[in-house]
Amino acid sequence: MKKLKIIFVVLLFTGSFAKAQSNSMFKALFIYNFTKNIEWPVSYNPDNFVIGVFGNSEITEELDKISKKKKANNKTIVVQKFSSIDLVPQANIVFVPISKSGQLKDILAKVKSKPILVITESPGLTQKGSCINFVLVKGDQKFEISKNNILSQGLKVSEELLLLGIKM
Amino acid sequence: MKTNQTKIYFLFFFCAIIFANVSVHAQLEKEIKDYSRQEVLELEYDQLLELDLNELLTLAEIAGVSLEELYELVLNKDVEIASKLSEQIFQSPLSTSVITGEELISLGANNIAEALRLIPGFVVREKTSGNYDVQIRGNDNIPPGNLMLFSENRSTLVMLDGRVVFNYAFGGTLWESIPVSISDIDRIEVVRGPAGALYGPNAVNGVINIITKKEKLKKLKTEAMLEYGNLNSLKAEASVSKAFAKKISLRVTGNYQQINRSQEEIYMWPLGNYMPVSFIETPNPLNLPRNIKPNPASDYFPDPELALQKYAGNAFLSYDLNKNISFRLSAGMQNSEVISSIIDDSYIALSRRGVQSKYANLGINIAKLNTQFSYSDGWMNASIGSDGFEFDYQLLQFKTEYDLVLFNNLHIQPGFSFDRSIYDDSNYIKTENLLNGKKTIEYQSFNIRLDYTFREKLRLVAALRTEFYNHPDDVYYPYQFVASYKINDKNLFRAVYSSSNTSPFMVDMYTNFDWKRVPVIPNVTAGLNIRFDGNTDLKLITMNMAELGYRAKPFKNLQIDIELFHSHTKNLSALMPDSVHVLLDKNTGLPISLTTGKPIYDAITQKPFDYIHVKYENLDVTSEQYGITANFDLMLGENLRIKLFGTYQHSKLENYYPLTIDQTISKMTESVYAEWQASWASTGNPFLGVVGGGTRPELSENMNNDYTPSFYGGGSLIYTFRKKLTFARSFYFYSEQEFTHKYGSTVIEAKFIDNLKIDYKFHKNNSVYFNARNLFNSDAAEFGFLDPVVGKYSVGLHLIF
Repeated sequence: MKKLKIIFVVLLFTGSFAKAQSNSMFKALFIYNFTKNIEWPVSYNPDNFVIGVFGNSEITEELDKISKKKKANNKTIVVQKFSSIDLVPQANIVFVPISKSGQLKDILAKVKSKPILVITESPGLTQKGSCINFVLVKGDQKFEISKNNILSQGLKVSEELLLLGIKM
Repeated sequence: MKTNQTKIYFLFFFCAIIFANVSVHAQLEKEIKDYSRQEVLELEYDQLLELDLNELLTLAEIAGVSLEELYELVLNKDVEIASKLSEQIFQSPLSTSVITGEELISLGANNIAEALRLIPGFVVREKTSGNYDVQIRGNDNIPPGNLMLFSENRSTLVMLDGRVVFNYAFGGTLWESIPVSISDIDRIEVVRGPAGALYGPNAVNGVINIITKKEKLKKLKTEAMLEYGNLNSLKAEASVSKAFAKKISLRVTGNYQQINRSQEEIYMWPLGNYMPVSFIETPNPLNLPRNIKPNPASDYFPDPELALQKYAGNAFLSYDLNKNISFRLSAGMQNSEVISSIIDDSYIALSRRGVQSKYANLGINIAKLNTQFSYSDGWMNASIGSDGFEFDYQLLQFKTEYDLVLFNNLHIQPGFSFDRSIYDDSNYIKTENLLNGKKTIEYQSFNIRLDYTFREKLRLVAALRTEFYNHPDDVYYPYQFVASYKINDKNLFRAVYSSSNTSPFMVDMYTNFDWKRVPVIPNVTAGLNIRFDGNTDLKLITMNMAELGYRAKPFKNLQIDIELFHSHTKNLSALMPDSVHVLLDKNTGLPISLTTGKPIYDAITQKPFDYIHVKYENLDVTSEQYGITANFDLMLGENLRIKLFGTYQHSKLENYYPLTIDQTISKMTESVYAEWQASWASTGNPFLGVVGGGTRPELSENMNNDYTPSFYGGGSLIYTFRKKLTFARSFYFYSEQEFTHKYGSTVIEAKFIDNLKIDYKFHKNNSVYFNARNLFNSDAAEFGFLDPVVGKYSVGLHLIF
């Protein structure tokens, strides 16, 4: 009976994360497309295009798949997982998963004045400084985009991307 | 198998693969917004990476990536079989099931017939390794005590991409001759119960449509599956596919399968036991009126161990000119040989069957007009080594239907069909022949279906078809009336009343067979021993069914489907003795067979006779079935899916003739002798000439049909761990049942069959796996007098590039 209970709990646990798993593929694909519509300073990260992922996230695996097939800005994509604020890499993009949303303020402080696109996935985070924030609108995967926050990171954004996102 | 032909076919197949490989040019780009959710989920990374952000947003919307929507997508799939319109299965007006090719691969189904064990309402028994009898809701072994042919399902319509793959020679489906393999299948859709108003003849117990995959991927895709296991089983499946020039998609596939029987012996009724094949040659065993078989054993079973060997190749081409115009063309060939249940009246329970065929199938969709042409021809020998069961055949099918939509809630679907099947044994004339020439079954039908939905709650469907055959003269009118009411998005009730009939079958209509059990007696034209005749006036087997259904979604991850059914089947037909004749010697007054020294004795009375006339006729027996089927489909998270289903039914036969065909002959022989002796006694002289006729006893009984199991069902569980490791468990069971053949009866024990497949993806989608069918080696025979069915264990490699 105890075993059954454990199995049941494991099943529920599996189910609760399934949603994130399903969304992560599209989120990773969106991020890859963002790289075509954001302009980084030419001299920044001349060798690789670095995407940092804070902590554990399903998106890491999805981004890894893309990195094996595609380049960003003609550079090899390097996906770098980091586990503490102090280890934020010199990345082009930093992704803050929902589990780390509470530390966005610290992340933003770390990347201030650096050409790093900060992407999040929790409601209301563009108001808190995130450049792009994934949201579900009536079950559909969308993204909020803040031109001001992007510009303040020293990046340029295409009008096309602004049109596709929910402007904040 | 014919070696040269085999080489040519393989050459053809590999040329086709090479053609597919070198023709890599373009891409399929259907309008993104037109993709279904299923199609979006099937897209691969390479394809997604080519899309723009706005296209990805559209796809994300269509896919509905939330878990709730995933439940809906998986549990409530789109089907077309019940209405010929795409609709979610929850809304389907008929008892409908669908299983995807992906599930079949995950669960390790080895072939299509076995795959049907994963669907509610099926009785599936393995006869010899890899060869199955498939029934929907029973109705098997009717009439009992006759030939094995009548114990198998002759009244379910099986289609491959809408092309009927029916065996018009004997009725039923030759499963081994279906040219596609599991990896070719996109999904299998099933309707339980009569659906002749939609699909024409033989959709009596139900309809099965096997729908093949259509490639959407731009890049060349190569897939191969190789599996080897005990019983020397080998399975190889391969395909290459590619989408071209935005609108064209091509898929070329090939498959090979072989497996041995679980034993080499064959059941021989006179001995009541399984005997070595060589025993066939024993002269006059047990003082029987004839040898077990007239020819050497090797003529019938050169390799008695081999249960199944088959290969096939297919090419599928689709062309989507625009949203309103599309074409789908497929062509292929197959070659198969099996040792399976005996088709003729022999003392042994098995025979060897070979089928070689090729086909072409063209579907044209122009706006709302759907038209399909298909043609196939081939060769079949239903009992290799025996005379009279070898044919060439041709099947031609044409159907066209239009979907007129009025007021957005009324579909009017008129249609026309034409079918012609020709079987010809002229090229194989031997001493004994079944048809003795070229015979045709032809029919035309007009059909119309009305489908009206009121305020998205109440749905009313009426469908009617008129069928005209070259034989019999009667016009048949299969029909269907359905009402469904959707209380809300979670509850739906429905009711169905429908009627369907079979087509005529070649043997029933045109049998023209002289069984010369001893040499013909000089100057006695009637000395033919046994004469079999078809009957072009036979009424066609017809089933009427009433059904109540309830579907519920109590939770987002659980779908329940319950069906209550009652069916009444009439016009069943079989071979029955018509008369028994004794030819009397003019000098002695004794039966001529005695004076020739080669008498044939009736098996029971031991009285000699010379000539029996047996013909196909409709029987008074009717079959009544009451039952309930319940199906539970549950998802727990994204990675675990559980299905459970079962059917409990009560079956009975009314006006059943309780004697076997041989017992009937004996009674008739007795009556002939009684008449003869009475005549002799009254005249004082032996009656000279022919004494014939014989009275068939007038008998009629009602009985429980214990030949159909009263409880059967199954279930499955698929669990994927970290997208790498998949455990797939399935089981199938049926309760005890009986089986009666003209030479004997037996009990088929209740059986529970466990299956397990473990698949590990070692690199991307490439995997190795272990597949166990009948995991615990429960070795009881599943079909009367045939082979024990043992566990099958194999390992395999599945590669996708």
